[in-house]
Amino acid sequence: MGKPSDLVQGTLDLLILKTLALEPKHGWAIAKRIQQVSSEVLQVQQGSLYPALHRLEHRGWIKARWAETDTGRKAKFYSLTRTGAAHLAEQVEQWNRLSGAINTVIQEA
Amino acid sequence: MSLISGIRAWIGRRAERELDDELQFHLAQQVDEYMAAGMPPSEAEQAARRALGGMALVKEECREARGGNWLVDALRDVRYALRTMGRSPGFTAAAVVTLALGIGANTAVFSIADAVLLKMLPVRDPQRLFVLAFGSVYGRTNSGTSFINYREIQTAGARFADFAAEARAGRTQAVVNHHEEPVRRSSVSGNYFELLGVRAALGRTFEASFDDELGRHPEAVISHGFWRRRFNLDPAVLGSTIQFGNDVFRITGVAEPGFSGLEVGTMTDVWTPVVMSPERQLRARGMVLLRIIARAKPGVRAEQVRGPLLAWYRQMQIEWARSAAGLPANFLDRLTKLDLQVLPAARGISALRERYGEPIQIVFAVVAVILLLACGNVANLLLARAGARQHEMAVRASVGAGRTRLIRQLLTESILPALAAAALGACAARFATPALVTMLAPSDAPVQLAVGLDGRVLAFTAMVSILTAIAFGVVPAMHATRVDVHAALKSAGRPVWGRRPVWQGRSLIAVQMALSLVLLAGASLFVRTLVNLRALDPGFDRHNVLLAEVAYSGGENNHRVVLSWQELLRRAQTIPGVESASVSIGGPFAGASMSGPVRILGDTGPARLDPNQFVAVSSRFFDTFGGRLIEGRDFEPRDFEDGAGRVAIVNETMKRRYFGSANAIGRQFSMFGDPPHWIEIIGVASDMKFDSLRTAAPAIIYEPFPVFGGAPKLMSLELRAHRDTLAVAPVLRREATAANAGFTLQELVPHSKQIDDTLIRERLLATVGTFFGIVALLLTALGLYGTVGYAVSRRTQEIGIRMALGARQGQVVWMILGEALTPVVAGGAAGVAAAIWTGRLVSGLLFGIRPQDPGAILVPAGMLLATSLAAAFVPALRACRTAPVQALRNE
Repeated sequence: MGKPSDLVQGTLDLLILKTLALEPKHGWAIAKRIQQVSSEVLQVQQGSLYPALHRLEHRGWIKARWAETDTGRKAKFYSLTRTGAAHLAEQVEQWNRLSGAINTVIQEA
Repeated sequence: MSLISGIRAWIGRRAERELDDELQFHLAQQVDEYMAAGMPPSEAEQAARRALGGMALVKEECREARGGNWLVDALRDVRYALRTMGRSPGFTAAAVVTLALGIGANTAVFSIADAVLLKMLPVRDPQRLFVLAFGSVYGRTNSGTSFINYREIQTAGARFADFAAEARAGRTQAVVNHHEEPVRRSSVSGNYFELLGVRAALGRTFEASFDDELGRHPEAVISHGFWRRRFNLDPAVLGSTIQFGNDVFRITGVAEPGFSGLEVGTMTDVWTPVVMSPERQLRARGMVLLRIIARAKPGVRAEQVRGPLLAWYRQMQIEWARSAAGLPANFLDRLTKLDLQVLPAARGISALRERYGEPIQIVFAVVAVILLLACGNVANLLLARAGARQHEMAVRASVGAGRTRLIRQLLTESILPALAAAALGACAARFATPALVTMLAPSDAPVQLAVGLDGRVLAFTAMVSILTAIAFGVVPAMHATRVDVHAALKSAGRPVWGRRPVWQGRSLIAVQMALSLVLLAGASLFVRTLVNLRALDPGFDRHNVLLAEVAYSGGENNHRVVLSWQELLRRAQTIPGVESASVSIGGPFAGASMSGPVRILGDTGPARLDPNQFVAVSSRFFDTFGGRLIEGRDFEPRDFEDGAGRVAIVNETMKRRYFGSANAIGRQFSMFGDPPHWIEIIGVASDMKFDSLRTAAPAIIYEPFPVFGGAPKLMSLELRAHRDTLAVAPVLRREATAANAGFTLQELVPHSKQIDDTLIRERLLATVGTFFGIVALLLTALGLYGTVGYAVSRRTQEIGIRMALGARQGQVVWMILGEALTPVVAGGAAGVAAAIWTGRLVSGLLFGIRPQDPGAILVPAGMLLATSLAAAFVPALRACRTAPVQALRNE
């Protein structure tokens, strides 16, 4: 366990930021959401999610706040900061370019 | 390690708890989900933990992701630096002491400069305070005006400002609790405290209404310092009395702490209402004893305050001139052009600042240079050490320390000694500051400054020490960390770089040389100035003359008073060892004088408006001071009698001004006014310097002492004795009492001391300059010694080879000296240019010597060269004594 073996670190960051772009979420919800949207194709190892969250918080891209969930438990909710949003936009664009290029290569091959 | 992990735990406790909570929440959610899917609780729990992975590992990764803590890093740096410092105590001590010298000197001088030049008055809104300066017909300005004028100014300027008045605080005898002692007393207007915004710490201050009720408020406010010193902060002080002469004042208040008047360098002990001054004084327009403080209304500029006051001032002068008939037309014309200035007083009023502002700035510059020199030395030491630590740096770099991390580590190693030096320097400054303050003033009129290690001074010291650390630490740190890891590790501890750090060390030496030369040349200019001024012929013989202020409190008529003074003189002259005695008002360097223009009987040209100084004297005045009568006669007893024709003796300058080369004896002059009172010139005396040794003698008119304002009650008694001895004092006191019980003598002071007191600035600059000049010389020599020593130690091998190949010791020494002296000579040359330039900046303070005087620069340059040679010679000699075999074996 530990470092995501099948996911590049940058990709995990990107997924987290994208997930948080909609609304603030706690860690467990983020994990669930990533599994859902990727149709359970991408298995985020739960253990690697938290260090990534803490790293993103330390870099100032996301911020955390303690609040109650629907079930009345205290949970740490993460939300996107302004610099985080800018970083996300940049990363998404870069990802699109890169994946577009890869697609082209694959189709021509 | 336990300390650091302790701190880490302390800082991280909250973060740690939150991390725990966060992960527990995750597990709880996961367990819920599994149970919803039908798992039994215990199984769900285990599955959730498995899904998350190792709890401890996740936590550790989270901690890592949050990044290191700067405080923990800094503490680790400090601990490492302390260990490094402890490993080379000699090096550390040298660096700390050198820096402490520089920082201490800067702290001491800053605390004085702050008190004299920078600190705001501790009153409300000091920025809105101004003081008025009144122009005179003779072009001088003075700050004094009369009570009547003060009342008129209040009305004239009411639209733009409020005004208060205060008399300069004078030292006077007071009786406090039946005990007589000297205090500083100032008379102030009723609204004084209110206008300044100074409250009473106890009781109450004065009220504006006092000014309307002359003589009705025998009350006194004392300063907080006086309350503490004299009454031990006893609240029962209210209601006790303080007595000046026959006037008794009831203490009604204590001013708030920190306030001791507006004058920097003088601390007022007691304030009394100005309306308690003699009524005759309050009603006389000519008694110009009050200073006017203006508080501009919000948003009002000084220029707006000035407008109506200037109009009032000119109008008042013209009206006064109309009432005094017989004034020449050009005199009246000048009255219409009189100036009045409104000067900022936010930092207080200070004669001290005018006199010492420039010298203090110079001293500040000097100690700043000393600090630079100290920084240079420490930087040189660090550069040398950087070589020795290259291996260590390489090891740390190879195990992953980034360059910024290494630089931060090395800067910590500079900041620690700098802080230690700051602490040591601040302690030293505590003792040095009072010593410097006493150098600012004669011992009998000490300057009282609120100097001490207050927050401002400590902040300054801290700032200086940090800047210092950066100044001497950055370059060596950049150097030490720019390492080729490979080469450094291979060379196993021997430095691998080329000539570069040596070169940097040398340019430091050159800069140090130049700076030291500037200091030494400056010191020599100031010493020569002092010597020149002391050697100057002032026109009198200052040696063996003793002075004493004498007060006469007899109440008889003029005639009797004059006879009493004459009797005092007769008796004084009979004292064994006394050659002659005289009394005077406004004699040389007495500090007070009357002056005014005169007209000459028979002179038809336009009136001359240059002022002459009037001095009241007894006969034998010139004998006593060692002046000469060039023509005519001295005053004789008949000149002092009632109804005698008025006569005067003038000095050469006065004679030249009005009579040129013509005869002056027998000519008559008068003050302006109608009718004129003609005074006959009976003698011409040689010129004496009067106000300062630097300026030429003013035009002086000597008159017999009973002339102005009747028989004087306070004069200076002068004795010429066989020796400069104060031993005559007891006999003199006895004789004075015998002459009349109404005489009281103040302390006897040698005239030479009084004159020396006018050279305080010069003495300060010469002493401080010389002291720090020598310090600079030593610092530079030490720096050179260190650099050459280091260079030599690195070249031991080369020297060994040279000597093995047959070089003689002399050749080796010369080679090393030659290399060492290149920066010395280059720096010296730059220093000569810099010294001439800085000399020009201070030329206003010099006397009898030009800044580019060859002697003043070449002598210090020679000293510097000789010291440098000596400093470089020692390591050079050591180098050539090394046996070649030993040097080669080092490999």
